[in-house]
Amino acid sequence: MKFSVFNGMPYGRVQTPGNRWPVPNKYFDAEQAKRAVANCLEEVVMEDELGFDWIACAEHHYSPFNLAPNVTVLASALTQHVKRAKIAILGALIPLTGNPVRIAEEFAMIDNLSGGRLVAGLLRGAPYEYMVYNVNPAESRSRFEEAWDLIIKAWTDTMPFGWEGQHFHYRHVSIWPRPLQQPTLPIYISGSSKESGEFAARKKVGLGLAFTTMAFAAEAARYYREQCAVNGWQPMPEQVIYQVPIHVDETDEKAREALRPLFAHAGTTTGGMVRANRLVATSGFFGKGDNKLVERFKDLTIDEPRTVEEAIERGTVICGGPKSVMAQVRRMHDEIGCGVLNLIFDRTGVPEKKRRSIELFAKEVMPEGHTL
Amino acid sequence: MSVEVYDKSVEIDGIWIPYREAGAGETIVFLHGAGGAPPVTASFVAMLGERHRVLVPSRPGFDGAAVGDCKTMLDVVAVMAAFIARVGDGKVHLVAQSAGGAIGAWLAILHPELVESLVLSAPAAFAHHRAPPAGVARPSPEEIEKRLYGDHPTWSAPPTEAERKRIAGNAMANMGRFSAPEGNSDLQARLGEITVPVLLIVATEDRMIPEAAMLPYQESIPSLIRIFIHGAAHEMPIAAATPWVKLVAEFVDRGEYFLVNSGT
Repeated sequence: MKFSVFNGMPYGRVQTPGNRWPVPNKYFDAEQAKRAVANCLEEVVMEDELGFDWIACAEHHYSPFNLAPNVTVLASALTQHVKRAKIAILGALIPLTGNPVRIAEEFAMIDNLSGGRLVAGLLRGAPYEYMVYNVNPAESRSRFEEAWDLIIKAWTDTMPFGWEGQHFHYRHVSIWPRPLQQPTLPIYISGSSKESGEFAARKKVGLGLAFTTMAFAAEAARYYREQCAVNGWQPMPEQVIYQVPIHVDETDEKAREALRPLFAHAGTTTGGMVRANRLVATSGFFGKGDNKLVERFKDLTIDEPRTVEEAIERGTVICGGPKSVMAQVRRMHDEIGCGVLNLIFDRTGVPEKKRRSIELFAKEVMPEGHTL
Repeated sequence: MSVEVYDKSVEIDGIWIPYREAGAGETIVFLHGAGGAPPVTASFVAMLGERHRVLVPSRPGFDGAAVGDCKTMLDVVAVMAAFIARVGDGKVHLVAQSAGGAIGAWLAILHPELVESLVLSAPAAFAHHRAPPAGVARPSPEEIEKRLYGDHPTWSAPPTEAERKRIAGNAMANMGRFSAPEGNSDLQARLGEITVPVLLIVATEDRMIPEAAMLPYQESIPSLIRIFIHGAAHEMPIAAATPWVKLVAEFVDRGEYFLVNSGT
């Protein structure tokens, strides 16, 4: 099994009245931002040296959770600090920008800057992100599929071409540089929905599962593998990624205590992002047959685990001392069939705890995890 | 605006050539594919006719036109050249669909005085058709229709049974009828002589002609512009009429300025 560290350059906690989203940027502090950048770049070097397989980042908007609204800018920086691990963009939200060719160009450039170490996640995004650039959520699927086809064409077609689609129009495309990795990059999409699983299977690419429970992820992965068989191929284990927050400490009790404050208000908050997800999810974002997802996104707080123990049980977090963390990793591997865990280490909000957690995982869990 | 489409015919070298005509403006000659003239209910002829004069001639051997003395593909090209000289009223814009692609390319090579520009729409000249392997069933007529026209064809009504028989009969009767060297190698060798502006339109969901069959055009014609219509099936004039007509009309109207955003 491979291990990826998600590092989206978190800014740190910002308390806003009413738990707003978008988070007003009047709370932005230049000194704190400098520290966030420095922390991120120091940590990725450490993670690389500790032997993590991938260093991952992702596009998110309008919040201090992740300072990478253009994820290729962050990934470019990572290529100059991370010398060994793959750089995984998990991912870029390709229906949102309105310019898929620019995404193809930037990814190709990052593959060149990294010496051919890019892992390419081309995602549709979470529902709330359709508010960011005012994109109609009912068009998200068709925009995604067209953008996807166009990006793959831009990476793989070696003669100039134009494109006339429902959403995107070009007269000339011929990107320089092309990706170093040939015939193409390792590609993933996100896939909680059935349509996503079918699409990934049809296009013979990997599937990333994030912001979900282990039960949902296992079902989505099972459906994806079933669809791969229908399309005449079998995915490699590392073509299924499960993303999960994690905290490792010396003992189970210390680890759980560190995360307990996160659950103090579980199920009672009604923040702006919850509302945004509800509004978009019920505006045609999900396709036919995905009623379970629509229901879930109507109020994500209902579905929130109330305790750290419940979160561990449902696989929405990994938490504990090294031994029990290894057991949780093994369970995810066995139940979901994932070959890559994309780990989010910054849930405590305390940089020192985060680094200790990363070190403990790398030294006391990862060696055995690599044998799975 | 409603554009009338008229059925006409003209005698060329002793062969009565049926053709359809619509609209007014610069002349576009549509060269049909292996099934002959498109279904009469197809909307694209009238759509193109909103700003242009459109001629849709049937070739010798198709749609009741006699074969006459035509034995080779170049004989057919000569008849089409004579048709354009007689009916076209000056240089024309050729729009060649599928099997019409070879005819259009030869006209541009041999009769540049008749051709203002050339649109190749899923041209078939360099596709190597093979019979399905043993044990693999031939696709049903319904499946073939889906491969040709996709899920959302633009026509006022589906083809009648008589129209379907006409199209299938055209394809059966004319397959291999007019001789040409293996793989149209003579055409491939001369593609570089094409000097008129060329637009090559490719359907991303074409299950009849592989994309590789388009490469000789792009490699041999420096002025060629290639463009994909996303999600379209093989018979783009019907399978993706709106974007196809838009591209063809804009190319005909703007020539090489087609490459520059016009703000519309």
